[in-house]
Amino acid sequence: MKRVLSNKWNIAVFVLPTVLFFTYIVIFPIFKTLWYSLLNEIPAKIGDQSHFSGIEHYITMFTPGRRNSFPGAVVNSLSYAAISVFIQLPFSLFIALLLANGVKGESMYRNVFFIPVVISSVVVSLLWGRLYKSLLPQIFESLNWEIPKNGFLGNEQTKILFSFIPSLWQYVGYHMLLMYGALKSIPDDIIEAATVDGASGPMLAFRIQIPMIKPMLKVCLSFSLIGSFKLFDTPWVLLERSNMDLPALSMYVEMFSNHKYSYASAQAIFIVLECLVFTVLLNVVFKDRDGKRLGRGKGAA
Amino acid sequence: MKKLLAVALAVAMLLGMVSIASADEPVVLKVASIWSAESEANRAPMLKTLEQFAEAHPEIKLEVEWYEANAWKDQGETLALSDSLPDVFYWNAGGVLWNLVSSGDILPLNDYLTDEITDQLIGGALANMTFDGKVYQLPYTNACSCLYCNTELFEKYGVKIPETWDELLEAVKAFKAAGVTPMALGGGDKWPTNMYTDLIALRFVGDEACRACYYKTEGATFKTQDWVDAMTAFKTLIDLGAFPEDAISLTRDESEVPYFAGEIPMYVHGQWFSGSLSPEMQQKVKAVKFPAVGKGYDNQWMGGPAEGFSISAHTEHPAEAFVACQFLAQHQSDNGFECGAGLPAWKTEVQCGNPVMNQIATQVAEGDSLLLWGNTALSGDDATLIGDTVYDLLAGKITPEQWTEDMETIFGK
Amino acid sequence: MKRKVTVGTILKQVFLILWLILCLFPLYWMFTMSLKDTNEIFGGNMVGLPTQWLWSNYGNAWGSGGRVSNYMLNSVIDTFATLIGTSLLGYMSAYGLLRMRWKGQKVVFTYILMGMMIPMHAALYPLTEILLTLTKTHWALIIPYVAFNIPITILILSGFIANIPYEMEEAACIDGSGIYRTAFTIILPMMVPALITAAIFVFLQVWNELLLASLFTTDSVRTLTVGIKQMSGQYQTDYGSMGAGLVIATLPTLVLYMCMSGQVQKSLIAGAVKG
Repeated sequence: MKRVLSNKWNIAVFVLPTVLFFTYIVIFPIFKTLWYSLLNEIPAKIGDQSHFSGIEHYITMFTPGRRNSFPGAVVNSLSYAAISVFIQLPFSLFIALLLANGVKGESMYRNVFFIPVVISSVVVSLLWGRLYKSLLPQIFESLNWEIPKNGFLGNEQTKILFSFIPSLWQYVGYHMLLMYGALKSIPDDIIEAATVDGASGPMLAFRIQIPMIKPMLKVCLSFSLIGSFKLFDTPWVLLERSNMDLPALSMYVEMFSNHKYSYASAQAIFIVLECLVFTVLLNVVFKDRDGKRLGRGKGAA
Repeated sequence: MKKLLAVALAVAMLLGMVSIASADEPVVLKVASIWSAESEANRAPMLKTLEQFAEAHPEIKLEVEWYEANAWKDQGETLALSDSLPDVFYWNAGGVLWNLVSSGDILPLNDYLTDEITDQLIGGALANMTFDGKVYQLPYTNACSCLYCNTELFEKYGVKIPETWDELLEAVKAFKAAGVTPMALGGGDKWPTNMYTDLIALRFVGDEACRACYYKTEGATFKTQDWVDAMTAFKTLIDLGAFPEDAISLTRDESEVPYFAGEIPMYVHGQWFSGSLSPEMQQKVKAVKFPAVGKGYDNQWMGGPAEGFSISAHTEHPAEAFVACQFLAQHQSDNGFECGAGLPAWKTEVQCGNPVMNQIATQVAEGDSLLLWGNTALSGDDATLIGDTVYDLLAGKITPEQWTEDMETIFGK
Repeated sequence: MKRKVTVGTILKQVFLILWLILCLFPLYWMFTMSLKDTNEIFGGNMVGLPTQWLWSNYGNAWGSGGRVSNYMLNSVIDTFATLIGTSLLGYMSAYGLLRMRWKGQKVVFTYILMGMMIPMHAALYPLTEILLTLTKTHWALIIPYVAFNIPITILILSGFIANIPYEMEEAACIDGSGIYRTAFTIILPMMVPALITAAIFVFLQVWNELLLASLFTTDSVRTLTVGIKQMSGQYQTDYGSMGAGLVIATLPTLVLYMCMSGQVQKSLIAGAVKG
């Protein structure tokens, strides 16, 4: 049997097509992007005037200037990450705990809370956009609250924040479900033992349940962080044309409206670096023993 | 041996059949057009044009892909980079065209343009699509922008249709006092704001100085008092509350809804807007020249042939592509004008059934000059910049002085 | 465990019900909007049920006006083709990487998993270079979708495949099966839950994808996500039809989810636990 399982031809047939395909579509392009980011502009655009320029674009990206929105964009993506990690995730955790500890209607709640996740993010954005333009102003008026100048999505101060809300809303269910699953898999006897010892409610949660689902919390954090840096769909639909206030949007505009392909590539590489850095940080914080379970996900946030 | 012969014979016959078949087959050309949405004024005329082409030229088959205008802007240049532009495609003129011309992606048309053909064009039709004596596009429409006034609302509130800048301000104040939003604006898309600022700039700065800036000629500058005055005038409109509260987040389509519903009396926009008006609205709306400011630039217009059809430099069938390009341009000019989607760029006997379009056609024919809009004359990030800066002005983020400073940076390259 | 109705219990329920409403309200709103005419949507009756049920809005959105039917078909084709691709390639490479024995298998495995960290945006421009000639076909999307979703598929499969004992291969070998028969007729059926789990993850990623879809499709192969975004521009005057389009776009996934909610949730949890 060992011979069969080690037969080189067979292995090639099973593995090689995928590896080649993957390398060609995923790996080569990312290195090409890296290469382009180090040129002053790509050859396809300016022919022989294209030359190596090192980290010039990376410096330009962060040079302060009134017209440079990239530093602000990075700050915005960090804000999203912060809101997600410190508000969205705890909220999801709270709901997960409530459900896992037993309430009436547990499975119904669980099913319904997940529904936003299965709706297309474009639909979510458009729905919330409509809400911002019609229902929300009415609600604010009846409560006598001040509506931001130029509308929720027009006001400079509030528009980024309001563009975050739909996708934060959408993925609460996703994180909640993952945490719920982890909570449910804590062996019952541990819970019982703790309850017998007098632990209940908050103490049970903080002393026993949360520590025991650390691996899953790490997975959720990972999805959340990577998703924050990549965030594109909702803001693109909701904000004004050619908005550059988030890294992924900025990259898109530089690439397709301004046709600065090398500069856009540098921004893309920066996004990847952000994800890498935070993944490493996450691993350090969680001090994971098993090297493979780094919990990287495609990013839902 | 016999088998071999039989096979050889079969193959030869097959090849023979194939070559006969392909001799009869029509040449297939790939075409890209915008106006993918049913609501686009130019879509119906274009469909008619395509039908007419199919009848007139059965030897050429057109495979048309429809795009939304903004999306095509993004995709087109990227297709150019990999030499995969369609054979014939819609494109803007001016700096936007120059972008592709300079990288060798557009076929010059001079070899195919006979005097007979060029005689059929209106005067100055090729101005924005000719570089270094070579023609790179054929226009299907002559563009311009003007002020659209809903006469019903003006009568209802006893306001005079403005002919001067001061009258415009009076009209704005009067409507505002009556609780009516005076002017429509889709600030979220940015370029509708340029419609306003370009015309205002034209009145305060004049065709010559604006042209120098938009075409980045030697010695041009934004840092003059005229430019500051122009943007200050625009700011005055904003401060008077001429535009909807949330104008800055509205798309162009959204912003036009209240105008169509007869709730907003004024709108500065391109001539194609007349084609979007319903027949009843066409009776109520009057298109007028943008109000006068009194500096001598008052009979100048923004516009000029600014869009058309171009041919990819990498096409395999240049002769057929030219036939298609010229036919599409000329017939779309007729069909579009007939239903009021645009002004003709080719000489025509066709009459337009849209009274508003006729008003525009008569007035612009008497104009002194036509200047291409800034965001079309400029290209790349310069074009993006002029959209961003007026957006910031609308948002109150920058002052008129800062606007001129920001725009001045386009010369620093 | 007796459940006393305490203040705590009531508070919990209130909280959960509030979030329930917040989750469902946008859907309710979308559904009612799809049946109202523009006046009601704008002012008259924003929150309530429509006074007249305008089913004609659905006709608009589905047919020539909105062309939602075409876009949906394209999305279905792209998504299912992608699922076939990821399942096939994913399974074969997972089998080769984890069941077969050779030097370097761990390295290759890690190599592919590192790919999970690369968001599609980062490879965007070079991808346009490769794929733009294919824009008129479905391949322009299927190829990148499969490629970028292979890592997560393999990761999920890896968790499940580890649980299958080697006895299976040994028995098959004794029976005289070649490697292909073993892989496809014996092991594969045991991996069906894993494949379903992976398919669900990939489905959610692909069905909703917007960025690549908007760049690499022309009208004939446009997917639902892009079609909806486009529709929102077209239907500024007709929110009812836009709402109808949104409902049509959402209904399949919603129905699918309701039928399979148990399975979907189980799969998602299992997938994340292994990941």
